[in-house]
This record gives sequence, C-alpha cells and structure tokens, in this order.
Amino acid sequence: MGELNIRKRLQEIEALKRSITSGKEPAGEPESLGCPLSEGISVIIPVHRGEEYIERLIASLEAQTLDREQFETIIIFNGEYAATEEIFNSLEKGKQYKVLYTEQGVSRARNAGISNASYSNIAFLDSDDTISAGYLQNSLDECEPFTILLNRLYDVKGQKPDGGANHINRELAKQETYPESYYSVVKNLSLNGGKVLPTHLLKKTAFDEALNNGEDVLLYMQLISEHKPIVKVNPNEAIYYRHMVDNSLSRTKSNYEFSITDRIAVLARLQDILKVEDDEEVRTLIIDRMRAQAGFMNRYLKEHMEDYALVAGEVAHYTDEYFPYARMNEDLAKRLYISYCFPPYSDTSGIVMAKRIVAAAEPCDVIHNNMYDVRNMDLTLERLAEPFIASRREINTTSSFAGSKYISLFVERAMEKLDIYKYREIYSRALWPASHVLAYEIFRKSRNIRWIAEFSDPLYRDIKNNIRQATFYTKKDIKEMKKHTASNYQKYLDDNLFNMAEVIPFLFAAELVFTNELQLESMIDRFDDDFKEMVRRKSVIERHPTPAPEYYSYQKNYVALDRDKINIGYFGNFYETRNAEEIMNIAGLIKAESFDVKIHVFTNSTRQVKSQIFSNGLNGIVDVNPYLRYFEFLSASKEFDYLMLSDARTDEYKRRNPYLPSKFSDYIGSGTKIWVQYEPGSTLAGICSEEHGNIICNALNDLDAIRENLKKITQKEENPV
Amino acid sequence: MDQLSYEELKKIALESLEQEERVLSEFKIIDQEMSALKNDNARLSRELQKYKEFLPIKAALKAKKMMKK
Repeated sequence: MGELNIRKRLQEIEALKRSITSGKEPAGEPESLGCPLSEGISVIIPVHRGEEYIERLIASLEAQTLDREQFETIIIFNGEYAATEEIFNSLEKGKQYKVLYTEQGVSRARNAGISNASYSNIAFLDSDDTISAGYLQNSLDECEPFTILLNRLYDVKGQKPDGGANHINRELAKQETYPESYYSVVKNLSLNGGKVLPTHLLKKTAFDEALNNGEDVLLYMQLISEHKPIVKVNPNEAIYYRHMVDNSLSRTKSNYEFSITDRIAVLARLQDILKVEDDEEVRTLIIDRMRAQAGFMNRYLKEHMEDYALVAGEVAHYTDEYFPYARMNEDLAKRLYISYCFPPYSDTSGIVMAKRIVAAAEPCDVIHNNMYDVRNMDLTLERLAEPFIASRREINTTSSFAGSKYISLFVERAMEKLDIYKYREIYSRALWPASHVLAYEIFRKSRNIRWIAEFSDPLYRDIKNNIRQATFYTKKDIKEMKKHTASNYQKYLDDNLFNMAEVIPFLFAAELVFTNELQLESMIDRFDDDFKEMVRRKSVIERHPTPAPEYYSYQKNYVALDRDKINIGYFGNFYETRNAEEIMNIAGLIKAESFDVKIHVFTNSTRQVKSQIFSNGLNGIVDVNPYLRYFEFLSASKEFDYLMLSDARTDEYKRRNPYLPSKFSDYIGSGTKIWVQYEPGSTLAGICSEEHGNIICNALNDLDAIRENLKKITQKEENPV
Repeated sequence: MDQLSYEELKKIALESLEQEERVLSEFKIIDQEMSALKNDNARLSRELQKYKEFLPIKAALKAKKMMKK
C-alpha cells in the first residue's frame, strides 16, 4: 500500500467526524515532561520470593566492570519477599541500589522501576538470572538513543551454561550488527532477558499490568509499533545467563488458564496493535508473534479436545484484522468440507457451507475450487468460518458447472493434495455437482469414512423442471459402482453427471441434508418407493443456519434511508421465476394509495430494475442500489423497518416448490420485521402459517392482501405483527 | 459556496469523509490479507532455509547436484 497509512487515516477520519458532529476540535497528543536522565544504565529487577538466588544475583551485579557512577540497580520487592529482603540487607554492597515496593505483579514492579530509573538506558534482569561481568560496560559502549541493543543469551541448566547453543542466541549468530529486519530477530524481540533499551522509550510505553504473562512479547511489539526503534546486535561480549528452573513458565504443564485464557488476552492486545499499525514489516512481526501464542493453544487443544467448543466460543469474534485461527486449529481437523465454491468467492452456496461449519463448531479442513473466473472475490467472507478452519486448500482449475474435463481435473488435483486417510468424516454440499463428485472419489478410496451430503437445490431438474444432462461417468465407473450397489437400485446408475450427483450421495452417503421437506420430496419423486424410503431414512432437514448476532456488526454499512418514511429492504437478484414485476406491483400500490413507504432494492441487475422503475413512473418509491457484500448486507439488514422476502414462482413448472430463499435465515438473525411474499404451498407459506411475532405475509401478487399489509406497516403507533 | 448553510457544509464534509472511509476500509481488507500472506511467506522461507541447512538434506542436495553433473 506504499505510503498510504490506511489505519492512521481511518483514525483521523473518525476523529474529524466526531469533531464535525460535536463542534469540538480534535484533541492533540499530550506532551509528557520527563526528568533529565544521566548517561548510564538502570538495571531493573523485580523480586518476588527469590531467596535462593539473591546472593548470586547481587554477586553478579557487584562484579560488574562498569563504573559505580554509571549504573544503578533498582530492586522492586513485590508479593512475598520478607526472607529475600532480609538476605539482601545483610549483603555487603559497593554499587548503587534503589529499593522499591509494589503490590505483587512482575509488570507492576517493572513499571515502578522504569518510573524511578535515573539513567538513559534500562536493562531488565530476572532475580534468578545473572549477567557476565562486562555485561553493563560492553552494553553501554554500544547503546544508542533510539536503539534496542540485543545481547547474547546463554541458557544455564544445572550449573552449565550452554555456550549459546539455544534457539534465541542462534538467531543472533547469523546477524549483522544492524539486522535487516525486525523479523530476522523475532525470537530475541519476545523476551526481556539480554536487552538494553533507551529509558525514554520505556517511559512512554509501559508493561501491561493486567496480563498474567506474555507481557514481554506485548511490550516489545508495542515499542516497535509505536517508536519503530533501531535494533542492534551487540558486537561485544555481553552475556545474559538465563538459569533454567523447574517452574519456569515455558515448561509449566499446559493448563487452561495459561494456554488459553492468558494467550487470548495477549492475542487480543496484539490485535489491538495491528488495528493501528500500517507498516508491513511490523505487521509481519506481530502476526508471527500471534502465531506463536496460538501455538500454545494448539498444544493444549491437542491434549484437551473436550474443551474445543469452549475455546472456539471464546475466540469466535476476534476476526477483525488477524487472528491465528489456522495455527490454533492445526492438525485438529477430523472432518473435511468439500465445497466447490467457498469463501472468499462470493456465492450463496459457499456462504451456506461456511455457515454450516460455524454451526458445527468443530475444527475442520476445507477444499474448494478457484472460482475467480466466475465469481467475485470478497475477502471479508473468509471471516465467517475462519475460526474453525485448520487448512483451506484451493484447487486451481477452470470453474465449471457441468464440464466433464474440468470437474475431472478438479477431482484429480484435489486427490493429489489431500491426505484423505486423516479424516473421519467428509461433508460435501452441492449446488456445484463437482463437490459430490470429489466426495464420492474420497469415499471410493476410503470406504470407512463417513459421508454427509447436502443439497443446496435439486440438481437433476432445473428451476423450470427440465432435466439437466451432461455426460460424465464412464462405463467402467458405472460397472465399479454397481459392485457396491444393491441390484434393485442399479437401474438408477448412468453416465449423466446431474443424475449421479443425486443418486450417488443417495446411495453411499451416511447422512443426507436437505434445507426443507419439499426439496427432499421433490428430489426423490422420480424413484421407486423402496429407494424413496431408503433416502428418507438417512435424511435430515436443516434450514440454513442463522448467523450469530456478532456477524451483523462485522462491517459498517452506508445505506441511506429516508427517515420520514417506512423503509423496506429487498436484497436479491431477479430471474425468470423471481422477477422484479412483484416489486413494481407493490410500488405501484404504494404510489396509487400514497403510503409513506420506500422500497430499497439491492440487486446485481440495477439497470434492468431502474429501467422498469422509470417506465412505470415509480422513481421516489423504489430506490435501486448495487448488491451489497455479505457482511455489509447483514449490517444493513438491521437498519430497515421491514425486509422483503419473495418465494421463487414455480407453480407453472413444478408440483412442489422445493426452494426456501436462503436470505430467510439471515433476515431472521437481523431482528428486523420480515414481509414475506409466498407461493401457496411452499415452505415459506408453511412458515407463514406458524406463529411468528416478526413476520407478516401475503401470497405473491395478492394485491388486496398486499394493501392490507401496507396499511399495517404504516400504522406507526401500533405494532402490526 | 456562499449559498450553503453551516449545516449543509457539515453534511457535505461528513459525506466526503464517509466516502473516503469506505474506500480506505476496502484497502484495509486487502492490506490485512497481504500482511497475513507476507507472514506466511516469511515463515515458509525460514522453514525452507532450516531444511536446507539440515545436514542430511544438505548432503542429499549436494549429491543430487553431483549426479546431474
């Protein structure tokens, strides 16, 4: 994004908008007045317990070669310290010491130390660690006013230093004095030990006292984000000895509080930094640290899958900016979702699959095709199911609804990428037949796998009840399938993709999912009673899941409503069985009888609808807007007085209406009242016959009923439903 | 401009800011994706380097090169 500081500018805009609305000038940053600092180092040591180490610690400080006048040690006793304090007081000391007291808490103690530091640089030292005799002198020689100085870190196990053979020190070994990026020394920038920092930076950016742990990672990320300091590797010998003790946090047995609750707290704060950070280098660094935090969560979950739902619930809505869900879910998936079209490609069938993943609330993998050639991309859509996805694999093939060559290629490439034996279950969903084709291929190879198949719409017959035909399966395929098929069902097997995209799942899937009863009955109508019964036995009816309330606030909407009128929203595209004629009829009635109502249509066919509006003289009654992206649509759906939902008109072609508009589930979650135009006998008509406080209904194009509903809608004082 | 009232000016200013905000929000979404991908790339490069430096692999790569010659 070059020099464009997106987030900074967005913050400025927010402040400007506030100041325009309130009439007050935006507040500037307060200038802090600090005391002048002497050239030297303040060593800050929080002490809680530590009676076993205090003598060794003081000896290490007393051995420093740096002039007494050039450094001070600030000991901050906090928590339990009586025994340690007694030993400390009894020791002979020749250097400068300041003693402070705070409530228990390492961050609180360090912040007190920073506030009281008199020298221009600060070195942190843990009470159980030590430093080499030349540590402070060799550091001070290399200190710069705007630089974080990185020193060597040796781990000491027992009494034996590792000579720098640890992953933190190794990272420094390869670096020039001034590393080329923060990322190249990321591990060193995640802990306090072995660093000397300018005091003026720390006086502006303090430790977060609310965190139980992880405060050091957060501090360094904050320092880097707020000040963009220089990082320098000390070319002189200055060694920080980290004495490994049994109760060190990194080796604490994994428990929920440390591995989940504390990690989420750190992740939330790191995400807050990302929200205002535009610099790509810093963002990469922070994301890396977030992934490291999620690694703890992943390790915990691998041992405690029973807690997954709880954890997923806690992190479900951290999707703004970035959250390392994939790292958290790594290797946890036992179910693979197969959806030829899937977010980020904008397509209702893919969105429904993502909603199914959210509803299942289990870690999963997803495989889908690259749909860039036929669908728009909406990156925000990834947020929907992201919290549960460990791995999302995209297959690069030309998108095709019926093309045998491209579907075969999709299946072939998907099989190359997948390790199918790691899954217990597969879940395929088709509007696009390729989803079920791949699912069957996996099932064919691994017959122990449990297969759940969902149908978005009937596949064999189109919306006008015409039979769809595309040759796909070979004689050899059919012969092999017959081996696994009861003889009385073999007659249904043929080479037609659309027939088989229904028949194969009917035969081999363990569970079949339909969105409504009429869809099921309509799809099995063509089979004999025995087959129908077999399908019914393993079928479940599940309407599309309704998104959780949080999803309705993910994105801001910019819909302009007429506050003096009743605003009705219509979201959807128009085609032969659901055309704009019905909207025009309603708008005509609104105009003729002067109802204070405005209809806002959001559609891809704006020109066509606009043309109809102008031809019918309905401008002012109907406002036409381009289709909104999913989360903006969810957010906008809360703004209207009513949301209009229309059935597809199928009576001319079909015995039953097998369709339930997918918008229904989204509308329900908005809390806005819904005005339904149903086709008699449809699922939507059935919903209308039930008691729903938030829904008013009439049959499609029933002008008398529409008039009555318009009267109800415009009765402002009374609740019409 | 002289014809516009203070309220009208405020409205225009707010609308203009909202438009800018909307465009920037679009950029932000792309930028978010970009930084996640950059991190992935940086991490994978580091992993790759680690593998290359792993002695048995290093030896195998060398042997492969020799065989080609």
